[in-house]
Amino acid sequence: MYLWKYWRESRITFAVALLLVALMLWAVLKISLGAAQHDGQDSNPAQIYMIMDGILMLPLAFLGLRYGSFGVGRDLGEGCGSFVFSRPGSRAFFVWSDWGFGMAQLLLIVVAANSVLLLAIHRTAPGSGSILVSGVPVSLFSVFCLHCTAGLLLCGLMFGLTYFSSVLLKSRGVMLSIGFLMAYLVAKSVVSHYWRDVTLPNLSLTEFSVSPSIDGAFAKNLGLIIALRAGIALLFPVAAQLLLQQRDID
Amino acid sequence: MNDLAIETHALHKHYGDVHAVDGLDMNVPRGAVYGFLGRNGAGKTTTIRMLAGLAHPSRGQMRVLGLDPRTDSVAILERTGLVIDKMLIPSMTGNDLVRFNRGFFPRWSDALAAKYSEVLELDMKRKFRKLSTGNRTKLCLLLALAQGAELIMLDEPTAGLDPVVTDQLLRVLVEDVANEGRTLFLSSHHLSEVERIAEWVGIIDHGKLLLEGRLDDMRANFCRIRVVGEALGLAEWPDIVSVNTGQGTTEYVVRANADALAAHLQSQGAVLLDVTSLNLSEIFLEVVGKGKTYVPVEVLA
Repeated sequence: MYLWKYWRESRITFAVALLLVALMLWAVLKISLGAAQHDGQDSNPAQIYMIMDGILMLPLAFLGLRYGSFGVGRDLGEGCGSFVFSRPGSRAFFVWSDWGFGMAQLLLIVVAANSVLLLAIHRTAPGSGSILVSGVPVSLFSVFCLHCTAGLLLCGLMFGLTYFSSVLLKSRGVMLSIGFLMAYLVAKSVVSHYWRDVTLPNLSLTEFSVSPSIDGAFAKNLGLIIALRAGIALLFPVAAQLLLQQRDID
Repeated sequence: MNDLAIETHALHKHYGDVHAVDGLDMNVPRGAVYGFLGRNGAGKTTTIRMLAGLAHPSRGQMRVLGLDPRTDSVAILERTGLVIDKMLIPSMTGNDLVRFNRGFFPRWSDALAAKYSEVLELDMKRKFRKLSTGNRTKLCLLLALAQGAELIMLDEPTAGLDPVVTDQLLRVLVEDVANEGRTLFLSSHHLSEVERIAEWVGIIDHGKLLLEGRLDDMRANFCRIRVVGEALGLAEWPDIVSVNTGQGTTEYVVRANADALAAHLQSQGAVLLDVTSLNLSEIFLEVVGKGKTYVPVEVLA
């Protein structure tokens, strides 16, 4: 029954997200196909990927942030933490129920969005199981998996960060999370401007999705990079649980 | 099975230099209606929060239904109805909150929830945030009662309520909790309400339990003795709570053995004016030190 509470909080966001992502992807697909037909040239699936990737990441980050603002952090902010935490359930139960159910919804959104993307690519280059990225053929399945993973990792990171911030600072948690994100992006720009040899990790996996070595990357260090990012994303709900277990509920 | 629903021993809760609960020793018998009395800031709410597992004690022991809230809070909360902040999930209606609550409690009763919504005249379709203070409190109470709890802990349940709603709540508590043999632990500083329903009383001040016992025993034993003349030196008399002098008379408040003290005073040449029993309000004022001469009393066994 606790999951029902999270569902009540998140269902409008879930519905709107599915609708918006589908509409955005549909619109981009129409523009890209239209341009290709107008020029009388073959459309470029790799270009569509890059556009899609860029377009998707912002709403996905926002979605992760939005989902992180639901659950016990919101309850604490609304002053009903004592009520929720006096229901028979461990602090871990509440945290991981929120996190698990939120991530399940985000997974559905990410997969749905990328499925539309896959369909768009398929229509642009029909009959092909691969596309050309920088002149090198890359399997569509690899691209699909990479995009789903990248989207989910970004959502998970923003979700966990906002969730932890909300537990820590209650209603001001979302602002902390946005501040952290902005600070990281600024720091990344500053570092790349002054120290050209140093690059802070991208919050998405863009560098892989536009690389012709996607297939090879799965066998190289992509798995490690994904595991590290997943580990960092998981640190936040773990920290939220520990914080809730240590502190008094007021 | 332990015959105590709640017991604490040397329980402490410190917030920095503030000792909210300072060595609390309390024993609440199973099946009792226990009034936990204290002034604002005496430590009542902090104690309840620790018993419910919402706050961590700084040190000391506590048991609720024979279990330790620090390690068995889930098992305790399954068997305990709690009304503490009177703040539920604002966006939920009464019906939503019933639905939310139902899944947590094995002994939840929809029939009881329906009964209380009718008895307490609650609009279950209205969102919690739109309810009046009285209706919010009633909804909190409904959720606590419908879960079929063995122990019900209520923190200031009548605060901010009008007399009609207060009367409704007290009737429900007496008829459906006390008469069913469940334990009701009720914190309040509204003494007349507690006096109306409580069998046991504990008085807390500055985080310490100053007095605990059966209310009937307290009322029978606490007396005020008025005599003409100045106060006599009675340092050896252990049952004196306070001594007040003025306008040619002296008042002795004792927690026990009033007749013996009256006889002793007369034997010393004092002229006895009267010996009267104290009500709960007077007992409370004496114990928390509102008299001119304050003598801390021990906990009554």
